Order: sequence, then C-alpha cells, then structure tokens
Amino acid sequence: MIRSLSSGSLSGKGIWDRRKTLMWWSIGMALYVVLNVAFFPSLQEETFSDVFESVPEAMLAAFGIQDIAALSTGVGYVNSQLYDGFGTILVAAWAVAIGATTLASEEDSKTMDMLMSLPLSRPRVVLEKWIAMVVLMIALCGVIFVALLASNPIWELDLSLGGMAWVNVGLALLSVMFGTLALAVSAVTGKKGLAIGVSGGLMALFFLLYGLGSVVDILESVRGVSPFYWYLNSVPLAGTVSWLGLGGMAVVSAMLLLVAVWGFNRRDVGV
Amino acid sequence: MSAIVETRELTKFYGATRGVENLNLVIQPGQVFGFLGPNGAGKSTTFRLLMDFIRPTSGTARVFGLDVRDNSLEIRTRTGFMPGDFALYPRMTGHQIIEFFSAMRRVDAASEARVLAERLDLDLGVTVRNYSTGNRQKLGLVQAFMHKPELLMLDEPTGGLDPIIQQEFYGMVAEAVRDGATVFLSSHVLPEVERIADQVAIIRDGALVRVDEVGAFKREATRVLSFTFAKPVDENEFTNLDGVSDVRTEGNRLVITSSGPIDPIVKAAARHEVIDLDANEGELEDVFLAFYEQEQ
Ligand SMILES: Nc1ncnc2c1ncn2[C@@H]1O[C@H](COP(=O)(O)OP(=O)(O)O)[C@@H](O)[C@H]1O
Ligand SMILES: [Mg+2]
Repeated sequence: MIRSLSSGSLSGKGIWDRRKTLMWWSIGMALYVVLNVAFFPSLQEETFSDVFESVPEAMLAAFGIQDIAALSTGVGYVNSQLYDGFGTILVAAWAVAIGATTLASEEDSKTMDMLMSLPLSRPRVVLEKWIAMVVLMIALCGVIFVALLASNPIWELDLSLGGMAWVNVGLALLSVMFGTLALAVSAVTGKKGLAIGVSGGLMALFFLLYGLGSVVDILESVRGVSPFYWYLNSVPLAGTVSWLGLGGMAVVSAMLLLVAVWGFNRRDVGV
Repeated sequence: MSAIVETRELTKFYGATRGVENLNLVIQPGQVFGFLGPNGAGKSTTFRLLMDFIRPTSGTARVFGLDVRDNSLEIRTRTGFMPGDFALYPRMTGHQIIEFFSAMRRVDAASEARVLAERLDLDLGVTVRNYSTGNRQKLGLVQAFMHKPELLMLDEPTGGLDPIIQQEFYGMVAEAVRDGATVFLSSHVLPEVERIADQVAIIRDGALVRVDEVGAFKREATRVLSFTFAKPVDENEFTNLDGVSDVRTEGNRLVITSSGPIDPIVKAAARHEVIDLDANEGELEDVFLAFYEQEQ
C-alpha cells in the first residue's frame, strides 16, 4: 500500500518523496505550537501593558498583535503567536518552496525529459504535482490542529473545537494559494528563483499590509486586498468563519492553477 | 505504408541560436535510422521536437502519421525514448524506477525489464545515486525497451557503454526490429551507427547534409590495398584508375589508396604475378569526416 503510494501515481510520488520533510515540518510546527502556548498562563499573570508599553503600536501590529488586552484571552494569545503571526508565514513558506521547485527542480536536475517521455499530459503533470502539495499542506495543518487540540485543555486556552478546526482550514487554504502562485510562476517561466521571489515578496507585502492596515490610516482602506485579511479578519479561531474569505482563497487558487496548467502547456520544457 | 517519422521544413531556434533548420526527415517502418553529426549539430533538438518537449519555430513533424503536438500522448505511449542528457530520480532504486515508469505507462513491464537488465549486466537493486554513468545509461535503455514500443528513439545511446555491453545493445536493436519496431538513434561517432543502421542521415549545423544507405557510404569509403609482386611494377599503370588518390611503391610492394571501384585495380594487378594482397576495410570515418569538415 505504502509502496504503491510511492510509485503508483505522480502525486503519490510527490507526497512520498517529501515524507521526511513532512515529518520534520510536523515536529517543528507541533513544537512551535506547544512552546508558544506554554507561555500563556505565565503571561496572564503579568500586566500586558507593562510588557509592551514601550513598543510602538505599528510594530506590534506588524507582528500580529493588534490589541494588547486581547492577549489575555486564549483566542487573542494563540492568534498573535501563531495565526496572525509567524506560524502562518512558516507554513505558507513551505507551500511556496514546494510550488516553486516541483516542476523547476525536475528541469534543473534533468529528470524532466524522462518524466515527459512517459504518456502523461502536461496538464496532468501540473495537476498531480499540485495535488501532492495540497495533500502535504492538509497534513501539516492537520498536525497543527492536533497539537492545538492537545494543548487546549493543558494550558486552559478555552478554544472551541470549531474555532481550532476553521482556523486550520483557512491556514491550509492560504498556504495552498501562495504555493499555487509559486507553481504558476515557475510553470510559466521555468524559473524557481523568480517563483520564490514573487510569491515570498507578495506574501510579506500582504502580511505587513494586513498587520499595519489596522493602525495606519492610509492603509486601512486597501487592507481588504490582503489574503491575510480574508483569512483572519473574521477571527476564525473564535469560530467565526468568513465564507467570502475562504471562498476568495479557493477561487484565487483555482485561477492560479489554471495559469500554471496553461503556462506549462505552452512553453518549451527543459531548455 | 506511411512513414513512421516525417518532418517538413522543421525549424527550431532558441532565441537567436539555431537548433535545426528546414529539416526534412523521413523514416520508414522497420528501419534502423542513424542520425550522425558532431556535437551541437541539432540531433537532440530533433528528438526533443518529436517528443513535444519543445515546440518548432516553424515546420511540422509527424510520428506514426500523427501530429507531434496534438497527439503527443499517443506517440509517447507507442514510443520508447532515451534522452541524450538525462538524469533519473537519485533516491530511487533501479527497481523502483522501473516500477514507477511501468505504472505511469500502465503496463506490466517488470519481467521484461529484468530480462533486459540481465542482458546489460545491470543490478536493479542499486540506488540510482550510486550508479556509474554507464549503469545509468543502461537503466535509460531498459526503460526505453521494456514496454516493447513500436518506435525507439535513442539519443546517443551507447556513449558510456563498454564494448561487450554495446554488442548486447546491438542485439537488442536487431531483435526489436525483427519484432516490427523502427529505431531512430543518434551518435556523434560513426562506428556505432555504421554497425547497425540501414539508413544514415548526416546533420551538421542544424541541416541535413546527406541521407543515404550505409552501403552507399561504404562504397565511397577509402580503401588501402597493398600488393606484393614477384618483381617491382610500374606505378603509372595504377595512377590513372578511377578513384585512385595515391600510389606508392617500395621495392616489390605497391600501396594504393582508392575510393573508387575495386575491379580495375585488381585487373591491373593481375597482369603481374601477385604474391600477397592485403586490403583493409573501407574507413567510413573518412567519408564522414569529409562531411563534417566541409566549409570549416
Ligand atoms: N536549451 C538551449 N538553449 C539554447 N541553445 C540550445 C539549447 N539546446 C541546444 N541549443 C543549441 O542548439 C544547437 C543544437 O544543439 P543540440 O540539438 O543539442 O545538438 P546535438 O544533440 O547534435 O549535440 C547547438 O548550437 C546548441 O548550442
Ligand atoms: Mg545531443
């Protein structure tokens, strides 16, 4: 069964090839969750305004902390440490790495000619590689969900099951969206460096726009274009789902996937 | 029966760099077609156009009578290809590569692959990363032959193989052709093409220089004949014969270099008492070098 996963399909191979990377990401992210939430009770005992008094508001916002008072609740605290913060960036970064390299690395390492000599259409190659990325993202977000689920009673975070589930659904969608953007750039151009640059750059830009938009007036009106806004502004961790936000990420992902298929189908491969 | 491979004015430019230009190639069913040309001539470009990895700048190409772009999947199903410059997944074993490729082709080629690997003296249990260049080449051949394709396209297949394995490869080609396959293979050196090809196309600077049967090239090959006579003979009796380019005498010995018919030389020699005759086989290499070096 496991053997046939590794060699029975191109997407299966894409997952199997990254099984060790997935294991390390899973361990890393689970630790990241646990180590962060473990500070929750101790932080509760201090007064947040003392800790953050001297830090400018915009700086805090950029790091995902928009409301100091909210840090005393489980939702506010976990959001600031994980979902509004670098946890999301880390997960999406892996998606970008996969998306950017999954085609281009085969071209660079010259395995692409062999792969393309098999009777697999180009759209199918793109689609199967994309599916592998999606499955890996779902797996990693699932691990994060479980880590949070386990931490919830231990550190009395008081998170709802629905909130923990929805925020990770959103995380998987956001990561897939940026990963698909990287896939599209590399499919169209064949350049993984460019794919990482464009996707990583846009991700950083949107992340800052969402964070700073809450405190910088001139950014307030354009904050809505940031996918981080679609994902987080409704506070999914509190169980309030924005269908528009989730749908927006799904639609953009689908459009980027079409661009990837189109781009890879039209160009010379392995040149 | 229609051609297996047919290109019309097939042209590929990489930006300003010429890959191939106005290539008209016809390969008939059952042929072993040798594609011969120096590095950079456009051989790999041609194969990659036929496999639809790259798209022509102009012109058309058909394989099995099918358009290489519109019907690429069917063409690839019916073709075994070994790229000129390729790598295989380094962390997979030979067995896993065969298993994966078979699954992608939806064929059960495992037993045939084992037979081929044995013939080529290749251990499929080894991880690709640990294969030598020659062994990687062998695995490339195994995957091309294992599903018994109607067309084999092999881009410089014998480069890293030792002579015994090369013989085995020639056997595999002969058997494939006997079973009805057509073989299109390239090389930048002559002997491997000369040995098995029926038809040879010489490509240089992206254009076909000449397409002919191997026999036709062989007939033009320069031969060196050396006679030992009972007593010295006059070299002038030989210098004006058709195709003779050089005549030398050394006591009773006479050495003739000729690319012409052999008969007049033998008849002229027969007028004298011949004690010994030594004729080396035609050096086809010279014929090809003549093409390679044109305009250089
Ligand atoms: N990807 C590429 N980009 C630019 N030029 C290329 C590329 N591939 C081949 N060429 C050029 O096209 C010509 C033909 O190359 P190629 O088909 O590889 O020749 P061969 O296989 O006969 O050695 C050469 O001049 C080569 O430099
Ligand atoms: Mg080549």
